[in-house]
Amino acid sequence: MSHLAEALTLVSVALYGLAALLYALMWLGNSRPLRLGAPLALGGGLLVNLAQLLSRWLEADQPPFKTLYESLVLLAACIGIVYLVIELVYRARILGLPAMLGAAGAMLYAFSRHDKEIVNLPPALQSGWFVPHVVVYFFGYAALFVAFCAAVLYLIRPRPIRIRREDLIPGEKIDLEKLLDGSVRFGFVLLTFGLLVGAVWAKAAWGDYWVWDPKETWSLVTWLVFAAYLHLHYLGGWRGQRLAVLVVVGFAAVMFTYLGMNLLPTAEQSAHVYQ
Amino acid sequence: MTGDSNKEGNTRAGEGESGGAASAPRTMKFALALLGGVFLAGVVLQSMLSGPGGVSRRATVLAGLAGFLGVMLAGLSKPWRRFLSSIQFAAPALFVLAGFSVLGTLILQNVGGQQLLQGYGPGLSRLIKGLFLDDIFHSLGFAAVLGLGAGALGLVVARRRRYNLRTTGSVLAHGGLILVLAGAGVGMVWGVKGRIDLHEGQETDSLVVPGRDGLINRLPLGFTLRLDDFRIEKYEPDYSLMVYALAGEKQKRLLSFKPGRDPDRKLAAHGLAVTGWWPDYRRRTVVEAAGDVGGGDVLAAARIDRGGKETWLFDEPGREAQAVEVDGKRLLLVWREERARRYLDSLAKMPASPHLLVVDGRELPARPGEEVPLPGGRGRVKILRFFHDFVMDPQTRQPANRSAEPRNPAVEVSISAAGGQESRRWLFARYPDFHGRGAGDELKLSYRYRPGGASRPDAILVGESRQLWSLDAGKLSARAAVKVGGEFTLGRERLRLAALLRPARRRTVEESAGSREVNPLLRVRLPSGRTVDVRPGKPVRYSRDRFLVLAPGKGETVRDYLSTVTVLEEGRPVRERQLVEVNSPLSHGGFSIYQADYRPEDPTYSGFQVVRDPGLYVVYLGFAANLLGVVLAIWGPRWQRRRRRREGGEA
Repeated sequence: MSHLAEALTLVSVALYGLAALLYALMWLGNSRPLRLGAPLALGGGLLVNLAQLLSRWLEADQPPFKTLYESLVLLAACIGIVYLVIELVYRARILGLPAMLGAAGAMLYAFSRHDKEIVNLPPALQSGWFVPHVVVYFFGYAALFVAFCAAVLYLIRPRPIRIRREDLIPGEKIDLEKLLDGSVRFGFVLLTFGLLVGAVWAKAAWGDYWVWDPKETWSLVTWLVFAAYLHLHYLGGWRGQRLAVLVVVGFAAVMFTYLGMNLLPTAEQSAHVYQ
Repeated sequence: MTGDSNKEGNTRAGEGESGGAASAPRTMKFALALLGGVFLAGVVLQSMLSGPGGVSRRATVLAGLAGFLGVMLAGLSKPWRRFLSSIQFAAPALFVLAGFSVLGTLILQNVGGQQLLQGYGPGLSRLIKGLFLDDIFHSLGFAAVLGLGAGALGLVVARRRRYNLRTTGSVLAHGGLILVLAGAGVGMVWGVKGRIDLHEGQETDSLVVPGRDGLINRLPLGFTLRLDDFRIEKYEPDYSLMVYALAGEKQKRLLSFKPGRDPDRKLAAHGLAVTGWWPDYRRRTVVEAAGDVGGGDVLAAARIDRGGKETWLFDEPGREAQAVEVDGKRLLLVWREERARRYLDSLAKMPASPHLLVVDGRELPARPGEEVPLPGGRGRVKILRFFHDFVMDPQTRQPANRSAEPRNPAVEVSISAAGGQESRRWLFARYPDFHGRGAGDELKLSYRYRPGGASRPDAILVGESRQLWSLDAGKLSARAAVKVGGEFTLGRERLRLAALLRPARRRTVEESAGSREVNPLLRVRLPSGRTVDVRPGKPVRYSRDRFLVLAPGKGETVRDYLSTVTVLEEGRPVRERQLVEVNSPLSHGGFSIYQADYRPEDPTYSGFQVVRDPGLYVVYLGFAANLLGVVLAIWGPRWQRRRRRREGGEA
């Protein structure tokens, strides 16, 4: 790992951190410089983050999604992009603070990792399905992270206010539940796509769609939880707190799928576990 | 749920089912009880059917089908139909499936009863065994629950509804899942999964399918598959020095240092320093002319070139000259003519033995019954018996001579090790690589046999007078002058005397044969001041909790496993030299052939997984339908609203 890459990581941490600070200041008083400055800092962090991803891709001459370190760099970029899209679509900056803390946190965790060296791809990962499978999943994870932020904000909101039209940021009328739901729906479509791509890839590589590898099984668990969310929300009419709790549970399952596989007794034979 | 009934009613209306008198037990608790009951029914069935190897795949699919058909039948009654296609059933079913999945990752799967007992204790392991949770995903209970779910999906798809983007999406998403499960079931019942093991050049017309009870079935492929060749492509090796810290059972990597590229200060932080780095380490003895080393006996050396290969002969003071064998003839270097003469005299006095034992390159003339000391004080060796044409007599099961000719000379020797242990072994002149060693026995012995005297030279190179003395049965038969740079013949081979050095000096040189990291060695000075050599696969522990490893820095070393195969039908090749590699199977005759296995110790072997899956396209169709359905169901209403708004705006 070159010094340049280390420097890029720290610069993007700093910019994401700055964005988080500016979004936090908005909670106290919304002003035009803040509304301009925060997305600018975010955009800067994202550019540096993407530059790091791209330079590693070029240096390694292979997609940089093999190690936990590389996946964290990708995750931070996905969070930045997904949040930016959500801010533009919903014209809401309420999730800026937690999203930027998440992106900076992912980058800091990446910086602390010991697996920063480029590693060769094993034969099974040298496939055209590798990039779509991983990238789609990480955009999905990022969307569900944003949903999780919305859910937590919903659950810990400081005063008993109406569900709709939150105004945590002065002057900003947004519907937290709508934000949460939009992110989950986006995340669920990506989870479905990632799961199916993974199954098609496994079939092409080994002749089996599905082998109940622990990570496969846990990705099914997350899919089932969010499928339950969609059913309960649209058909069961679930609203409010219990829906937010379900999203928190679903995101916990996502995080466990991503980082917790080492803890499982059945993880030894898995093709998916980060070392 | 009561507080949300209004909203639910609206949704139902959208799906085209009008509300009405509902006598079905519409509670989530009932759904959970139903799912649990179906699972337990599967468990009971499995404990009745289960043989030593578990239940068959067919039984699993039948259990699923039973669940599916059961729901379909129940769906004939309207209240049941409404219940089973309702959210009150769907949500618990999703959570139950998620719960089973989680259990399947928390409980060790497909391990023996012993391991379960160790892991979970007697009570819990009996429960796990009893509910078949140790192979949960292939149990009849799980299959029945899946079937129940598939049936419910079927009822959802079959529901009457007003079609729009969302409801179309719902039908596709749910119907897609039914297709996936149906396709997987078809694959399980009518599909074939087995393996083919081949060595290069071998062919087969069948695949091996392991049966449930450990029996192996052979199924015809319908064509012949030949493995033309197999190779493993490796990444360019790229070794780094890793410093690890031991913390209890775990190891933590503190540092990865790339020799030749990373700055030395990276290592200095751990008190280490690199004193040498050779990507392709080798030690070589170079022989060179020494300066005048004064009087007395000195080392003499001659370099002989034989077709581009160089061989050194030495005449060492205080040691018996060691012969070099060329085309079965033995050549010696003796520098002084006077010493060569004395040597010839001693040969004449010494009775010739046809036996020569070779230990680590040192030759020991030996006679049967006579003890010979082993070099390095490792004990003594004695020839017990000799057979000039060794054969094992099949009747007496004793060694014997097959003929009067020396076709297969063999000796039985006894070795008295320095520690006092005695061992015996057979040595064969024609099989010098067979050392007759037992496990853990390090002594490498081989045997040479020459009727005319195994240890007698056939020629002596006399350095002082630049002469080649030819011998016959130990007696001088001819002398010829040789020049440095000139040629001479020994046996049938033409040799060139490339150099004659006296005094000569032998020196060991450490060098790298090239810049590729074929045999890397890193020399490291430890904090204690001691220097160690670190090689791959040989970790060096240098303190209580620190060790060094030289390992490929980029982890993976194998880039690809590649088999080249030819498909033959009726003896004629129809697809020649096709490449099968990971992620790129070969499809032929309804089978897909996947690169699946290799053996590091058996480089011509390649293993294939062979799959015939008649449900493949049904599953793929299901995937496509599900994905499209999810997208439509989730974003369809939004698109429709936007279009309506736009049309409204235009109007």
